[in-house]
Amino acid sequence: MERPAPECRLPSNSFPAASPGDGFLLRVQGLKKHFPIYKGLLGRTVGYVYAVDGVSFAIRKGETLGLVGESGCGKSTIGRCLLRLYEPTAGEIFFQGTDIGKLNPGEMIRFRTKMQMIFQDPYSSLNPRLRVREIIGEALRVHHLVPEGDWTDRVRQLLAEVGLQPDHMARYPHEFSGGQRQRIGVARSLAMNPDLIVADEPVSALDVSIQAQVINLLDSLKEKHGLSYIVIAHDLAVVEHISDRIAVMYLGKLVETARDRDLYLNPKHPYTEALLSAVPIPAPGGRERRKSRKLIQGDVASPINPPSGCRFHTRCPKMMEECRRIDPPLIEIGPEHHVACLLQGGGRS
Amino acid sequence: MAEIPTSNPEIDEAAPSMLSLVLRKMWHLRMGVLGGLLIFCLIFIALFCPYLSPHDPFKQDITKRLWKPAFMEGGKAEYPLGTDHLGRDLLTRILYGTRISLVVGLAAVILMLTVGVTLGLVAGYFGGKADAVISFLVNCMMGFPFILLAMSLVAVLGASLQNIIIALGLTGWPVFTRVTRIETMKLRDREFVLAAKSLAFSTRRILARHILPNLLPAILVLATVEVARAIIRESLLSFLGLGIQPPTPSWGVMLAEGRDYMLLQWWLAAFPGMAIFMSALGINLLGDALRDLVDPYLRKT
Amino acid sequence: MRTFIIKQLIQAVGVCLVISMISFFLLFLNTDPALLLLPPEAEVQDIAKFKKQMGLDRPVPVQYLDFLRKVVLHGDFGNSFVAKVSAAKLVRERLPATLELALAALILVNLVALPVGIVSAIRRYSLMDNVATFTALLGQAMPLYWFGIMLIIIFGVWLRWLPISGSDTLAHLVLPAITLASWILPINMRMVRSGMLDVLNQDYIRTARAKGLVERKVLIKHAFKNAAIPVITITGMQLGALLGGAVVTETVFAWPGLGRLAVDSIRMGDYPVVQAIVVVFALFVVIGNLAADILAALIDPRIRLE
Repeated sequence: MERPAPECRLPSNSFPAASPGDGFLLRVQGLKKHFPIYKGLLGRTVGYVYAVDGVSFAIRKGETLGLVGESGCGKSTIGRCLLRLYEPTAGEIFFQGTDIGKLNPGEMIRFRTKMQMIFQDPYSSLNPRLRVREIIGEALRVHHLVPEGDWTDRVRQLLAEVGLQPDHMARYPHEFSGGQRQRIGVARSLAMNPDLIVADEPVSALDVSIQAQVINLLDSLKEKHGLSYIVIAHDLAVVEHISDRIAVMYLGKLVETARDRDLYLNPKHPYTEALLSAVPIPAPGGRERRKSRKLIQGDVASPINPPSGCRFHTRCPKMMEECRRIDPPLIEIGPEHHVACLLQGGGRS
Repeated sequence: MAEIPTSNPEIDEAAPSMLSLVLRKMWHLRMGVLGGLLIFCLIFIALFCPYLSPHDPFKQDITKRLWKPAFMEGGKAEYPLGTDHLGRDLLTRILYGTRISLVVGLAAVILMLTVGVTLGLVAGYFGGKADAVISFLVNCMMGFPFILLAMSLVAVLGASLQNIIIALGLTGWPVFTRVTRIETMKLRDREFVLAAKSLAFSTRRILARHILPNLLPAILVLATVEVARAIIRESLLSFLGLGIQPPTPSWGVMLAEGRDYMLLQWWLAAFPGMAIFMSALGINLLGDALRDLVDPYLRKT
Repeated sequence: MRTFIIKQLIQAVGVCLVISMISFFLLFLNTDPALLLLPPEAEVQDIAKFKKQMGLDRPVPVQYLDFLRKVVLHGDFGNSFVAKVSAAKLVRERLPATLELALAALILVNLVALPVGIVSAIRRYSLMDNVATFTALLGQAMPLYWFGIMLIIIFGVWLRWLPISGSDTLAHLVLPAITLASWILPINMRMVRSGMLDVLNQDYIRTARAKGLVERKVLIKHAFKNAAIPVITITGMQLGALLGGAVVTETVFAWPGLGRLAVDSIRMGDYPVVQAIVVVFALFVVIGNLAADILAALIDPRIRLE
């Protein structure tokens, strides 16, 4: 576990500013992940990739949070930090009240069963040398979640839940299509009866027609199993249908979070507006928006050397002079609607 | 080393058509089948040589020394390949030599595998200092001519079947480590390994059930080729006098003995060498065909 | 770039150290060195006195450091147990013969591998290519000493074209050089071919974009230039194999070089000479690899970043 950097406690611009153990399933506070860059003979650290640079949010039980942003904005990194596949550089992750960022591997096991992940690439997320029943059932057997003789029944059950046939159990991953493989991945994550599933770009590698199927599958499973989701995607259209709330990320920080409809009807951050204007699927107010298609200028800034002040200022069509200097914190401008933009009146410090 | 076909008519007059690619594949497979056949013969001979050989490989008879092979003038049919300087039937000794070669080859490679793959897994999966040390070791050993190392080892340990296997195994493992390490490093970032980690599987389990099985194709191909190399190296050591000692019928020993007589009784050196050559060739052919088969599979996954 | 070279140098030195350590400790693995030097009837107290005299009673690591010092500063490996002269001197005497053989083999290999490899790459899947690939396959299965012996039998005995042992004339060099060359040839051919293929693929793309035809001559000239590079790098990497092959070749052809000395010395337990040869070989291999690595990095900057 990396020791957090000294200035790890951000001023509380996270939402909602309550203490842990107050009914939130997951609360992330000031999460940072910096990857060091090594160079030179002795492997000196010459810089960092500021993949995640101070992110805070929370999820209630039964909620689905959509986490959206461009490639490289850090969203996948957040997902992996949550599961401690990466060690956070700073910040806390409270799961059901416990700070799991500080647990040792033995203690972590208990929580691992409650948080699972669905991965992006259906062609590398399943072990090609194991049969489907082993892929899904391995966790059951290793952690003795099910009496020894019953695990194949449970696997059959899980397969049925994701819409696959029981006789698929004996096959190998390469015999399945991309969409089917994702379903197997979903089944695998369900095996542990988790409370939270982090879906890391679950449909990015699939055809559009299949995407909807998988998203619908996730949605239908949610009610049935009392799941909460974090769905990570780079496409707003993907999360729109399934999310209760949406968080938009840019270059390692959150720029706007809101309830689903609020974000679509009333986006406040210029970046969100631009993302929405690119959505091809008819969304509320879509026709008007498409008329005023907002294009973002310029390329993505680098997470190694982020721009000063507001990170988006180099590409923002509404940039002001102060945006260069001041990095706006995330402030609440409506019920469960937070924005980090000086235009909304954030921090004149 | 699979290539992507180009078709630049100015350069490539023999522009590969689909047909020629298919033919090439079939050719490779056919060669593989041939290799497989050769190996099958080898194993068969090794198992059943007492029943196949006309004579006793150790029986000496000075009155019959240096007789010509049956197909030459003056040769006798009961000694199809002639006799050596102690009157022993050459064919019989060659047949019995199969056993030595196969045993040594397989045992040495098993030793190499055990050491090499383990080190490669550690270096590839854990990285860091372990990797630095192991890679350094591998570099040390790989550039160095195996012969000196192996010879010295044998000289120090004494020349016996066991010690040769040990010497070969201890000098041949680096190539396994190198390959295992690279493949492991590729695999450890794959999503199914991450999934296994998120499912809280122990490192041992991940290595054994998730990483190792996916290494097998590459290692298998390598092991096949290394068996051939081990056979050649064993016969080399025996040839130099630092391997199997006479009267055990190792092909290398026979070559060494034959060398003294190569001026007149050339068959004493030619046929054992031919046996080594054919064995190595068969194994290499099989290995090449295996690699061809395994490559698209590796890439698909 | 500089850090790369320094890293490689440090590694090279480390390798040499490790190898010197191994070769030194070999001596102690088997027997007490004192016993090797003294006549068999020596009494126990004589042995003890001798050891004290020679400094053989000191702890082994100390002896190793002493050995290292002598080697690095004076090039002194002690005296040969057998010949009673300085081991270094013996090595120095025999080195040129081995170098001669190696050089001849290298020239031969490149004479064949370069044109064949290039043509194979240019006319892929042609008859020439297939023959070359097939020959390479055969070559890799061929036991070196058997090849040498067959050459001797065919060319020396049956046809009587060439002499078969000793090293007096240039004619004596032919068969051993061919034999040694065959050891390296298959891999070199393959490497030249694949190196050329890489280059050709690039050129092809550039050519496709450029308008007009490109003269084949120009391409071949360009190709030659680029083929030279992988050749140099492989040669560096193959030094180890070359030296190993030399050991065998010299034994088969009774060539008076280091290789044969090595075999004889090992057989007779002449450890100082063995140590000297091991270190010399290691030096060659390490320097060869170093040169090849640096050259490769000079040409292909990607390697430096690894």
